[in-house]
This record gives sequence, C-alpha cells and structure tokens, in this order.
Amino acid sequence: MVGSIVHQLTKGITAEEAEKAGLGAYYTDHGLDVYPQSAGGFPFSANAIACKGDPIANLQEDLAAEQKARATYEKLIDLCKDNPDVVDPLRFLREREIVHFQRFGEALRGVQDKLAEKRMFAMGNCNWNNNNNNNCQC
Amino acid sequence: MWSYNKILQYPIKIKNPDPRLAKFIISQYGGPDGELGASLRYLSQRFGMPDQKSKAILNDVGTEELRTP
Amino acid sequence: MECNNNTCSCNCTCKENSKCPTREEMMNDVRGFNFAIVELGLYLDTHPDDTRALALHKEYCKCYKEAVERYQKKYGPLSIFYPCNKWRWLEQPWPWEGGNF
Repeated sequence: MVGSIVHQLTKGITAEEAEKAGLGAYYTDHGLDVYPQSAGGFPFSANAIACKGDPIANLQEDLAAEQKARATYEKLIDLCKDNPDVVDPLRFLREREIVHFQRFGEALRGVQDKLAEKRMFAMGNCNWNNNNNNNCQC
Repeated sequence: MWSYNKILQYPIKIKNPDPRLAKFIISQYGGPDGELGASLRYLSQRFGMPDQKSKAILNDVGTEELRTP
Repeated sequence: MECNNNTCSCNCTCKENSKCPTREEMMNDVRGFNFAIVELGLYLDTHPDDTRALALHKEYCKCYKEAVERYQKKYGPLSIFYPCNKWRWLEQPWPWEGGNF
C-alpha cells in the first residue's frame, strides 16, 4: 500500500519536478522505482529487524515499534493534510498499528503467564515424588 | 507461503501526483519504523515464541504488515 | 456491507444492466469481507474462546467466498488459483496503478 502511494505520487513526473521536490538524488539512483529507504535517504537496514532471542524483549520491542509507526503516520497525515487522496489510506494504516499494538499486548500477557507457569513447574522438580512432605523447603 | 491477491487492503487512487509527499512517505516503506522492517521483524521473531497465541499473533500481524509496504 | 446482493444473474456474456453491481462495488465487497476476516483472525488469536467472534468469522468467510466468486466470474482472477479458458490475469489493471478503486 505504501509503495502504491509512493508510485502514484511520482507517476509520470519529470526529472525537473523530481529535483524541485527534493528527489534529485533519489531520481539519480533509482529513477521512479520505489526503493526501500528512509525519508532521510538511508537505504533499508536490517537493523530494523530487532530479534533478541527473548520473547518478552521481542514483544516489548514490537509494542514500541507499533507506537513508533503510529506516530510516524500521524506526522505524515499532518504533512499531507492538503491531499485527501493520500490522507485517507494513511489514516487506515495508522488505525491498523493501534490494533496490532493491542494484540501484541494481549500476546505479551499470555507469554508472561506461560513463563510464570514454567517457573512454578521448576520449583516442583525438587523430589515431588519421593517426598510426600508438602512443606518442601527448597 | 506467499500468495498474491490482486487487490489492495484499502483502495489507493491519487488524482494528483505530488513527489514532495512521496519523499516523506517512502519512510514508511523502507525506513526505520516502516512496514518492511515491521513485517520481517515479526516473521523472524515468531520462531522463538513459547506459546500458540504469540506464535499466531506474530505470524498473522507479520502477514498483514507484509501487505502494507 | 450486504452479503446477499447476488440477485444479479449476469455473467461474462450478458449485457450490463443497471441492476448489476459495478466492478467497484464488487471489489469493495471483496475488500470489506477480507478486512473483516483479517481483523477477526487477529482478535481470535488472542481470544480463541469467543464464540460470538467465531460465529462472525464463519459468516464473513462464507460472504467472502461468494463475493470473490462473483467478482472472478465476471472480471477474471483475483489470484492465479482461478482457472479460465484464456489467461485473464493480465486483463485488469494492477492494484498499485489505481485499478482497485
């Protein structure tokens, strides 16, 4: 969707129009292809794919990422406010980030419960079977 | 498994090109908080999740984000 | 969003009449039901025991299947998993070209 927006916003523009819009460098390197980069011109970086190998850390990262994406959409909506054809899909995309945030929050609570369960099971490892004593001290 | 449907999740029909706006919006495509990074992050993280719900959420949100770049 | 608006009996060969839903209307049905299923799917991932959501999911899946079928019969494939006697995949514009209304 975002690629489609960029494509339609640049469709058929001339080199001069690109340059005037601040896209001279972009036009030089990529023409009118849609190239994954930041607004500042940095090409897509795998740094964005934070994977820590820890479910809690990962889900917290995802919650923050959804909020950052929402904030970015709000800035874009502000910048594009004179063009309703652009604002409309941006608003839709912003709302999706909020739903994803909500679902990640629920998933995180589930993971926390699951990990708490595991810890209790580990405590039960101390000779449950051989020891009928409920006052296990370990 | 990737499978393409010839339809957008939300219609996009921009009457007047405006490259000035494209310069900003490209950030949500391939920028640090963009859709490409988000989809790949969730689809990579799903392998290490401990329960069915979190695996499903990362898989399914990752899939939805993959529709949006 | 109406599920049962397939009162139109037209197919590829009949003449357009004012009762036929337009391509845009059919596309909107497909998109709307698709969205509802995606949204309910995410909700059900974390609330798998919600029977009301499950019933809605079932209903929208049925509506979606019908809407896709209706669209494809007239305008050709929405995915390559829809066989036609000729390669109709190239007929309609691509979504990024504004062909999705």
